[in-house]
Amino acid sequence: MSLKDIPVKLDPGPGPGSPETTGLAVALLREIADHLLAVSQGGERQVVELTNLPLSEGDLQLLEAKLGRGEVEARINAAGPTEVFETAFPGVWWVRYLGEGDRMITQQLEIGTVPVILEAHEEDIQASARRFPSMFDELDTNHH
Amino acid sequence: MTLLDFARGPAMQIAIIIFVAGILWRLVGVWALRQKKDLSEARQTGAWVGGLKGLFVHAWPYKPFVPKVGAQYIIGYIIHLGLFIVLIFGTPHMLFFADIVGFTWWTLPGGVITAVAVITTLALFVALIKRLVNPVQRLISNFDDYATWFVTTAPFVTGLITNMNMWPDYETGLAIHLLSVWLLLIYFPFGKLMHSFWFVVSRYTTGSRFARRGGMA
Amino acid sequence: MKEHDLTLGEELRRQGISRRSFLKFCAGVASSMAIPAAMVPAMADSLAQARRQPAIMMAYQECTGCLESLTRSFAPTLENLIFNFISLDFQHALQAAAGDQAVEAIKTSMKENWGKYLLLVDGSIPLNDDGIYSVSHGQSHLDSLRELGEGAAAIVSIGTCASFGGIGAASPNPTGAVGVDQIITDKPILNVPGCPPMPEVMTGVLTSFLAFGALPEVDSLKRPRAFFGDTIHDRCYRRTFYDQGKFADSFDDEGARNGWCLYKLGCKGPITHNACATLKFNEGVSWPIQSGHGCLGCSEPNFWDKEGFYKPLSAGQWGSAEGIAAAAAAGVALGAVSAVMSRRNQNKISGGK
Repeated sequence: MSLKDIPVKLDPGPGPGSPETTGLAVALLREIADHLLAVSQGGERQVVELTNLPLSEGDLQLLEAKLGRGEVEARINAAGPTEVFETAFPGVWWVRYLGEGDRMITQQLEIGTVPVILEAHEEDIQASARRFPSMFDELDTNHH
Repeated sequence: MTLLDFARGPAMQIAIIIFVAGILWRLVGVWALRQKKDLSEARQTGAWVGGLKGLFVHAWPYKPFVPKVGAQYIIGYIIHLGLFIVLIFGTPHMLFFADIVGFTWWTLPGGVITAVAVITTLALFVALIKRLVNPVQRLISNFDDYATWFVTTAPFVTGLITNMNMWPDYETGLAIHLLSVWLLLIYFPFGKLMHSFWFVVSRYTTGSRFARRGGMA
Repeated sequence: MKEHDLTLGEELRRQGISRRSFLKFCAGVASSMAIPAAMVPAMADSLAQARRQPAIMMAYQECTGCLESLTRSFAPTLENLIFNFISLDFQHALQAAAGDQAVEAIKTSMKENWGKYLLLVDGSIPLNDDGIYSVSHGQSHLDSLRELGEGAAAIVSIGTCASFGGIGAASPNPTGAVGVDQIITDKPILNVPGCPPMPEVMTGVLTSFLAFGALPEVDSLKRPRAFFGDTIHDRCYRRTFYDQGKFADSFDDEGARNGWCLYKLGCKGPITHNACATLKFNEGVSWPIQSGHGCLGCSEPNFWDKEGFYKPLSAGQWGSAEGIAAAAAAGVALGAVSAVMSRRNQNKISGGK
């Protein structure tokens, strides 16, 4: 008997499970509709955390299919990659926080003008404003 | 030692010791009594056949009584069958026994066991309500009847809560369920639960005596 | 300016870490702790205002497995941010200094940060014979813990040993080992049990301590509810098989290969509170049940002494067969005595006829 005779079956684990939808996806879509209406009337930015919900693979596919893709796609490199895209509904953003080897850390739907992670933060802008003039020192020294 | 460790260890051992000693005490105590001599001449041979018949004949009421007591029998059957199914075919229960007997057997899905347990518990409550509502039944009921009802119902209720994970803390809940079963075992030999042994003996005795005298059991 | 005077936000900017990285870190922690995602920016703001937290990590009667696990959460990219949040003034296995210099580092940090530092402990503490069974640099760990505990703002017990005594306290517990909260009773203590503990729990606990200024909400065993609130069984991806009555009967049968429930093989999932069913180990690679082995219950007290890892949960502890045999004999004897007494009574009533 060789090693190949031993039947080995890999357990894919809790990840990509059933292709069936659980009804949760539809409930989520309704929630997003409510949030979008609130934001369109000047309400605060809303975030729906997807990682902690018991969504099946089918649910996620349904969500992606229904929300579609919009005009913006972005990839952020800060502590590993983060993927952002606008859905076919302006104001509804899909944000995927990834870790090493594109491992999913968490993914969220953000409803607002622009996802927080895309914005340059006030303090970062202040820091860069301080840093910027040093460029001229370099230019000056090179010139002489 | 957590409550669960206590329930699975010392409490269980004490309960089993009391159960075994108590059952044998009652059985030997009754069987070693002087038997009543039947001085009459046997009217037919094979009284034992009548005794065996008696076991089954009394499993259902005499026809004219059916409208009056039929429902009571049905409730009784639901309770007893439910108890049997949950006890033998619930996976955790089977594993408990498998630890003693050394082999496992086929069990029912958890959902089925839960459904059976719910039906049995409801039947137990119907039986209690009937007992409280019917004036005659209430009159002939004593502490033993209510205690027996309580120690039988408690394992079902605690078991269902455990199974549905409705305790604040599962581990303590499981311990409470086990302790409720040990309470049943401890009370068993000293109250009406002994009927699970005596019903065979009494039906056989009645049946065989009637048969000896020419009756139909 | 001294390191400790900077806020975390300033400190991170100085290191060239953008606010985006910071937000992302907070999003990850919030997700693992079930903190509402809308709170992430506020959490990041509050964290940015926090000062770098001085911390002293002591290794007592332990195997360093906890540290092995924790450093996995400090892997490059996101999680190593946590290292910027704390000033780990002493950890004997990670630091370069040794001997007198290392001990000097503890003393200095204690003096400078009295009443403010976070004490992280792994390993149990022996009590027998004045704790002589576990000693570092001439001081028993019992004395060390008492001394360091007095000046700590809060204590985090890392791993099952520091939390509940763990393997050091396994029967017959020759050294009289106990967990931290058996010795220190007047400080906020948080237990992060597990053998090893989950690194994400440490990240979450430290982050929420810095962002919210307090240890998170705990259960009756002082474990953070956000991670230890559910049982493994409740969050197990094999739970449906339990409900359907599909079980593996041995480690190599059809059921085991199909990934059915491991209850019959002694899985302690129903009585074990931990987060590995959702977070998994080694950055989400796998966890015990996914690799086909039942849960040992490593985040629960005395998991080592619970009558066998492979005995089903519902099995009892039988004690001795002699006890039951003696009970049977006693029952028979009692029955015989009561029968004799009844017969005598019968004779008396019937007048011997």
